[in-house]
Amino acid sequence: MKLESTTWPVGTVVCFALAIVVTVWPAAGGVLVGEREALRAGEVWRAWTAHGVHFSWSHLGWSGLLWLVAGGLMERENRWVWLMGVLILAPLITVVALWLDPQLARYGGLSGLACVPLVWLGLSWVLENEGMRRAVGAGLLLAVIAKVWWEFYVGAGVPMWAGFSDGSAEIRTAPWAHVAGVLSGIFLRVVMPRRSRSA
Amino acid sequence: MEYLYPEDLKQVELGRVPELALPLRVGVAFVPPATKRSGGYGYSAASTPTEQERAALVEKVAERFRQLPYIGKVEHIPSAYLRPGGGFANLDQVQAMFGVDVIALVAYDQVQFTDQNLLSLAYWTVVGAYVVKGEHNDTQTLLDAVLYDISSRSLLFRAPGTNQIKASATAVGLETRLRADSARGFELATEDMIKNLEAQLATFRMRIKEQPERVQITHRPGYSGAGSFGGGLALVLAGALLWAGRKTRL
Repeated sequence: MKLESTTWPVGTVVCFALAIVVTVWPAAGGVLVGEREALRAGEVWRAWTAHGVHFSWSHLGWSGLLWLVAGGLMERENRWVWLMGVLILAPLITVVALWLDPQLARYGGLSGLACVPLVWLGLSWVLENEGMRRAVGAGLLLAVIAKVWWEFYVGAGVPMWAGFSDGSAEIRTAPWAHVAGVLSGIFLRVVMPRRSRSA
Repeated sequence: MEYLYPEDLKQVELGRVPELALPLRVGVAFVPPATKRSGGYGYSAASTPTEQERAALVEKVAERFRQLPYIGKVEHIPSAYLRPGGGFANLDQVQAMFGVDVIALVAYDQVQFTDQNLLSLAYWTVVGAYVVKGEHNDTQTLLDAVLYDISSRSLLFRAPGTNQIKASATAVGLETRLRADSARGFELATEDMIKNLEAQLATFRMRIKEQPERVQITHRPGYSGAGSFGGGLALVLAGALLWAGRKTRL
């Protein structure tokens, strides 16, 4: 089956729009956030919907910006790979974030998922022969790795003032979500090499 | 103060730097009434709010706390668990029984003054006592919500609510008027206190952010986690992606 190519990355935009709706309507966040106990109780949809739940507008803004740009580019490049990321790997990111951090009760946010297209694009560009794009791709990968390192060795346990401008002391970084996102991006690039939509 | 330091008001225990484990567990309670004060001419301590009124007030305060994402649970502590002059020893017991970290104590005081004005001369006519408003009364209400970290004995913030009602009444209708003013004063002071409480909660969050040395924040199992790209990093990455991705075929 061949997917129709479109100019606009509809799927990415729809995901972001749903995240806005959830932020505007906090009651929905309660049944959509990636809550450990609820997932154990069988509310499996939370593994997908957790990525749409944000704890503040700034959280949504910055994570959403990255998701729109990286996810949009990836979807325009290859919608099959994008769908693989959203449908199969997105729930794994939530599960990994909760599983590897036993103290984490709830997970939410698009940034873990945004790491998938970010790394996928970065790797793709590194493997290209175009000098500047290769350099940008390498820079993206280094930035993501540095961020994850920072979260583990410096930022872990510190309230994320920088990420949440409203000063939400209650939210901690969930670095395993980013690790899972990075590994998912690498996995997708390895098992589903980049191909042109026109192919 | 009488509740927290019943023995000697001059020996106030200095609070240590509070260590707040998020999400916070908050208790909300109405302070038991203090010992009765002596009266004076034209002065009376108004009747204390009923249990229902106190419960409604405590619930309003609790509701404000529940709206905050860094609050894990909010417990309404029944008045029966707080002894008059119980102090921090009593709060330690409450902490053990209800499993709360910080407690919001709501205190209440209301006084009413009554004076007669010149129109009260009409009372000599007997009918005047029924129709002429010769009694001038003044109802002053003070509500105060203080948030204490029980373990460190530290005051985190306070939110007062005040109200003053001036009214006049006939000699016969004075008691009814005073009761109505008392209830109304309580209601308006509550609204004022809730408004201040919301402002204080917002200020408190910012104070933790700007002065981390004043309050230590830790996290207990059960916190919320999220990934986030700070503004600067998100902008740089998005810019790089857009620049490199502009050659993407459409």
